Amino acid sequence: MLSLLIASMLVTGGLDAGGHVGILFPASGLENSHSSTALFGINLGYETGRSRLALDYGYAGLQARQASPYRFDVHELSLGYGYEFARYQSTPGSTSSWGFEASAAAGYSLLSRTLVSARETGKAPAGHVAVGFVQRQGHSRLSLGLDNVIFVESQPAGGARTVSLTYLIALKAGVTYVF
Amino acid sequence: MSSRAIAKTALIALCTAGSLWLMSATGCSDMTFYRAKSDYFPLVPGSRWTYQVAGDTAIDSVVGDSSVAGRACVIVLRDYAPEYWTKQLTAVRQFIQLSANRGGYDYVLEERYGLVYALPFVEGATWDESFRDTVVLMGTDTVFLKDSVSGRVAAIEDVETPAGTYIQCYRVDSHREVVAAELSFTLDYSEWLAPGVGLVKRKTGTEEKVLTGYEPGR
Repeated sequence: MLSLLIASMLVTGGLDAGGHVGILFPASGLENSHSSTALFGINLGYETGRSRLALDYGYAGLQARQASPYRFDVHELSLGYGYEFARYQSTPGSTSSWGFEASAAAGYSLLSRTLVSARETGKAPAGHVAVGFVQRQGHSRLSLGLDNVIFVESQPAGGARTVSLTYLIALKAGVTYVF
Repeated sequence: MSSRAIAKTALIALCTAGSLWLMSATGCSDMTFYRAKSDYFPLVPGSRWTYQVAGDTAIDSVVGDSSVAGRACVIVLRDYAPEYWTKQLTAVRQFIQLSANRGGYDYVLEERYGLVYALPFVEGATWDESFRDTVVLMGTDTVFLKDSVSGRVAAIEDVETPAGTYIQCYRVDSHREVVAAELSFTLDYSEWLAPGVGLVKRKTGTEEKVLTGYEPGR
């Protein structure tokens, strides 16, 4: 079933590659000690019809709110699916179009907190839910969107389990080249 | 297979795989975000900690705000004796007042907010602070004063106490040395600070102080 699905998509779809930049806003308690920061990443996409599969790498280095040599690095690799629920063509038969896309992704992060020479490393899975504006013209695909990222962590604590959800909001702008 | 059918199937397959993956992958987390966003030294008015120390009960509580030595601070009652603390994003400090008695009078040798913890906690982080002064008492008695403190975030550990199990605690090893005539002392101790709770265990030599109850403030 999966191989049939992949085969169908490869026959009907198109590959694209590009990158994105943006701003990451910490929330759910993290904003008390961390300030918003720039993020950037690269991605590889595969589009068929209104659907798009994307493999994305992103990096953000969160800083302390007060001047301090502290940094919290987040490297994330994610795989997601997007659906363009509204698409409008500039003129009938034209290759340029614009629309709105909703997407969901699952990712895995490598984390690092450093303070001078002290360093803690970790890892955490993450879920993404995003919505954005997409514009295509010729070989270019531009996007601007809001990405809601939730990092899920858990650990047994006595007879129970502590689950910690950390929410971050990203405002992203990207450009890809469609082959 | 139409592109709409492919999209629908891909969406269902990805959602299912993603959900299953998230559920299984949470076990592979290290609680790094949890530690990064947690307050390891909450000074919220109304908070109350009960400890067991060598068979006795000790109570710490945060009673409110004040201003001491020209600086806004939080009053903590440690076994009903007031202490004055300040907390900023980069440090937790405690008001230190050291006095020597000469001829029936108390002479202040040291009066300042001394460093207790440097924040944020990151395993392996170290800090130190040293205060030196020379004070002349009664015109002829010269007292050399040195008050130094050093600390190290030694480990991340889970701690079991009578009040419960606390995960992701930072163990802080500290050393304090005071050289001031008859007031001189040296102290080595380890403290375990839990996220959202604060001090849950303290070990000084063979003496242990462990948390038996905690009521968060509002």
